[in-house]
Amino acid sequence: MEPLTAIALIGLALSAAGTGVGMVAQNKAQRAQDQARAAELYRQSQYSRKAGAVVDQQIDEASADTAKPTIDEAAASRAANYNRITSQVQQPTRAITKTVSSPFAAATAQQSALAAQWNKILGGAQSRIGGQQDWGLARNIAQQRAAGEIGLIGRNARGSASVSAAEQQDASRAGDGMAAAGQLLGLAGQGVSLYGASQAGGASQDYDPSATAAWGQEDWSIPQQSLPKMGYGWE
Amino acid sequence: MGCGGSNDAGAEQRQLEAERQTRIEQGRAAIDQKFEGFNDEFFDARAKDYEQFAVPQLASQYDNTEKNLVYSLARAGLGGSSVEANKRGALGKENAQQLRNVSDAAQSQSNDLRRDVEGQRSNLYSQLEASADPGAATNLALRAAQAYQKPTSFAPIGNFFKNFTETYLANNEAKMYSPGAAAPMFAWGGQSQRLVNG
Repeated sequence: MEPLTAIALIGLALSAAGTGVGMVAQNKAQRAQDQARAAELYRQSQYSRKAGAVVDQQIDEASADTAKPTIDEAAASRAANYNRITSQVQQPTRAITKTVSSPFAAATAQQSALAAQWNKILGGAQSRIGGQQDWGLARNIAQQRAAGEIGLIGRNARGSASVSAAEQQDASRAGDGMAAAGQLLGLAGQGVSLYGASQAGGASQDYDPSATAAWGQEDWSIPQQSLPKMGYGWE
Repeated sequence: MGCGGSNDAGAEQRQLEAERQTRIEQGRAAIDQKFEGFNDEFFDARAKDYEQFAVPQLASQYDNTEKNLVYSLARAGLGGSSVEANKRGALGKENAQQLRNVSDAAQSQSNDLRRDVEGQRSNLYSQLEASADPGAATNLALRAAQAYQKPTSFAPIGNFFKNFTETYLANNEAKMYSPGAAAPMFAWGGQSQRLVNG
């Protein structure tokens, strides 16, 4: 192989290598960006799953199946409190100055029985209403906590997403070093090719000093030509 | 390597964000820890406190009301009658109703306190998220928790048997001005009254 051919081939090879390295660098940057994007998407999906779990729990706890036993329990607690507080209070029985007659005692007992029955009915209803209020409060607190939890998750997700932009930018520079090397290789290849081409151009023409006119003896005169006649032949 | 900037800016920001989130988690844990004492026992104690505040007053008012009822009926010559039995039954019902109301009010006191504490906890969470400073959040939580531990006063209690007395006073007044009505059955706080026809 002739030296000039070898130089040309080396130049071409270097240029090709430079282009190849540049492409690899570009692919590397693209892969890094893809990975960064995938990592962020995964993080966001985790945030979303976490928030979804909080919502699901709230829905479960707010269902009728869950509400009923909770309300029943709260109502039972209130009813127990009614009984406890009533039993604690010794209802004073004021001394009656008169001798208590048997009809009066019977009437009083009857009224007391009626009152007890009345209180049992009202107490049951009142405890149910109270139980529902207690359940409502428990739900409000749980929902407030859930809203706070979801808000925090959302803010964390936004924080993560804001970082992702910088990570993408970093990833876009992942192939910079390799790209620079590729550019250097390409430049070297171009240089070698140009050198080879210049050498090859000089070798293809045999220089013959005798075939050229001596300096200062060139014929710079304008070739004489007969001008065509134009117009109406007025001369 | 690289021109025009560091390749680690994203990693640094990621690290800072992770640290911020960790600080918030730590702060929330600290707030929760300071609020651990606010459990069911704590709120039940509030209800008990209210009961202890209100029930003796209720018992005292019942005592006075019953006394006035008996005296009023005696003045009307209705002591030991079925009217007295009836009125005693009504007063007993009212007393039981007021006891239930006291019990509910005690529960409301407990619930209000629970709501306040929860609101305070939520505020502290918000402040923590804004500052991402667990130390400051812990101090605020400690102060808030101490404030809730202090004893508080209850609003004064009115007349539990106001409705009962007003109902029977109105009843008596109506009878006083009705032809052929019997003597007032239930008028306390004043002298005996008797409607004289003619």
